[in-house]
Amino acid sequence: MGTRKVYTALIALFAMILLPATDSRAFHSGGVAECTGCHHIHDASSSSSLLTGTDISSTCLNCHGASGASSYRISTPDADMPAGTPPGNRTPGGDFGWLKKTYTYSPRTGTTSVEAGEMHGHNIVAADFGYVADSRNTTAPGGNMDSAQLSCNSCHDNHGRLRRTGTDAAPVFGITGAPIIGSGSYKNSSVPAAGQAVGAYRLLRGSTLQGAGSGGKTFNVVFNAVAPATYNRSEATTHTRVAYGRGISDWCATCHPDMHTATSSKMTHPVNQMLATVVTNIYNKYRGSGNATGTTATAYDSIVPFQSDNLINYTTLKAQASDDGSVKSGPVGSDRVMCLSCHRAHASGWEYMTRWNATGNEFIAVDGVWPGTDSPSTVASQAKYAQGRTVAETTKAYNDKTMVYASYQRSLCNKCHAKD
Amino acid sequence: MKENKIHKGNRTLAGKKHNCPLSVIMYAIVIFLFSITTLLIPAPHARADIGGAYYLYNLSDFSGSVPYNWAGLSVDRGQNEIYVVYKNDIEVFNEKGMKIYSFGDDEKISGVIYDVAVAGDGSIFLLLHEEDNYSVMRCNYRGEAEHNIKFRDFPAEYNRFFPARIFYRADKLYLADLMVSKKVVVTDTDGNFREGYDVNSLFGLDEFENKPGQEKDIAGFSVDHKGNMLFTVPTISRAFVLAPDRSVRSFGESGNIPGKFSVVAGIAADDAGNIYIADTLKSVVMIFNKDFKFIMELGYRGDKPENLIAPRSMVVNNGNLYVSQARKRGVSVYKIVNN
Repeated sequence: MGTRKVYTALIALFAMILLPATDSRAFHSGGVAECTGCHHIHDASSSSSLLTGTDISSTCLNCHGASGASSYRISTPDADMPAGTPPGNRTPGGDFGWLKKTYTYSPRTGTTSVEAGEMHGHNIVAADFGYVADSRNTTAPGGNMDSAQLSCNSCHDNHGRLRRTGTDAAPVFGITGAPIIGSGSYKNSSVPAAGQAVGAYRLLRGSTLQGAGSGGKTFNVVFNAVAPATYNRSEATTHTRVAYGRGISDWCATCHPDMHTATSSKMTHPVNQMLATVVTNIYNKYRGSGNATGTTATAYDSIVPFQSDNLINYTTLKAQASDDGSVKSGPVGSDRVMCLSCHRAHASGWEYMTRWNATGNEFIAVDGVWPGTDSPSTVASQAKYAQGRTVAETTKAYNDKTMVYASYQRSLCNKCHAKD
Repeated sequence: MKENKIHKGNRTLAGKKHNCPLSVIMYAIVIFLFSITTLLIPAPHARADIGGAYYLYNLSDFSGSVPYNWAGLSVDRGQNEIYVVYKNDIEVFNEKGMKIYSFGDDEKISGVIYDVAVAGDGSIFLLLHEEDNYSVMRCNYRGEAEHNIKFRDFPAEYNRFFPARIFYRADKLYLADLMVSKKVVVTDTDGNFREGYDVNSLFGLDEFENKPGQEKDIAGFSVDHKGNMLFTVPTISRAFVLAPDRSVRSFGESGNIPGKFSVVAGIAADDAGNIYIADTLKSVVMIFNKDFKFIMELGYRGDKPENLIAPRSMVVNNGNLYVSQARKRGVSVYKIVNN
């Protein structure tokens, strides 16, 4: 080796040593995170698990509840949500900050209505961040899980043990089998090679072998889905499409079983049922109240998503996920209605964590705009339409979507039922 | 404009007179006990000039400690006043930690107040977010809106710029986009572009852009008296110091023991160059000297007044350290003690 090569090698060696070390991994990397990111090994003050947060969800929100919209933020801090200002995150699951948005207004009939923030979503318990147990539902609606035990860990396996091996076209799920090399949640997630695995979507639980999370529920259904690379984004110009595959509703049924069995008295709407010809045709033609001029090629509405057949083919799911509005096609008959067709997983701007204002009054948009107390429209600013919200809050609840529906738009139940 | 809510005046202990000798003795005992309760927090790893720190009080109004949750903090160094940004209000506290003023409801102020900076002449700069737009409103020393700063001559690569923090140092405004473009722009107080820093590129974070779940969001940002910019990047357990000449120094590594990073957040520096870093997970503030040598840490999770719960933003001023935290524990103030 010549002297120049020796010097070059030495310089390279020193550069490797001296340059700032930047970790190429994400924090969770599709699986278990760095231990010291959540546990304080020698000085934990939490009552269990060496967690340093007051509780499990508080530990999660140390990172996921910070200020500013970001890929992994799902809870807007109180400081950023003065009255009239909505939570900032538009992730598919929604921002838990809506749980702190209580609205008082004069409805179209009756006396002053108070819409409690806790009606807007899953009331995780995170004492450090002011999230408390649901005071109305002491157990999960349609189930028996103790609401006081609800935490991020109830649905997500913080250790991310569920993994996907095999190919994208023929995935195999398990809690062992190969090391997790990265996230499996995204359109641009790696395809696991032989001897490799990627994490399950959003570290969601999906195997009884993972054991139970907070609240004692074990999941035996995998939540198959793929998110686009960018998803916490405004939909003012283009929609964000998450591709949902097999298992969504059955997964939710782990805690809400009575909501899903056809024989249950609590069952109110079919789920995991094919849209079939009639509903598919309605969805694809529906563009707004009184407007049935839509086409299948452009019918997709991110406010009313659907499950793609019973897919577990991640090649297909990845092709459907988009963050630029490029995949606009509506459903085919084998696609299915799911819980998330109408609800958000974390929280939404509306009661019962619905994706649109399903309970307020007959119109979700009036005078061609989203309603709000500060709307310049004398119609849209009326209390019964604004329901205590500013235009910014109403708009954010629809992911900042431009008002693309009818000037007097009724409930988006009609996207599938067209009774308007 | 909100009225000044605090009446300044002499205060006596519980408003009672203390004339008799016995009362004087009792008073002395109370003072002694009070001193005991504010014992120096142990500094097991003390180094360099800083010898310790002790808890003073929480920022308060006449009803007690103000129960902020992760409030934003800024400082008027000329007046030694602390500015708290919370729910579209700016609340001002004097050096004794008492609220003396508040503003923010001026009709000319449109949008959500995200951060505040105070210039040497008392001018106040409010960083405002309104939907997907930002603006900076210049206010007078009373917080009355004067005019929006018109930013000029921003290079094309700063088109995506969306700042979340604003700092004032030496007649310059530092605007930091910690989330979107990860760039810092330095302007004069009239908004004319002076310098721009591509933090992603300078710190070698480029490779993570547009990789979901791998974005290296910057949690902490501040500017020291020399114009050095300080950052924390929690997902790589690293703190960076970016000098005006664009040279970069960094330190920190993941871990739980004193001096290691778990989930780092706010960062600040005092005039001696000591660096303060809040660790939200460990619930401590770590102090390093200007050469990044660990000196001590303080706080620790707990319910005592001197403890911290998920600390986030910080400012250091005039020997005092101000720390905002979660669980409505407001802003704790510590006295930094030099050797």
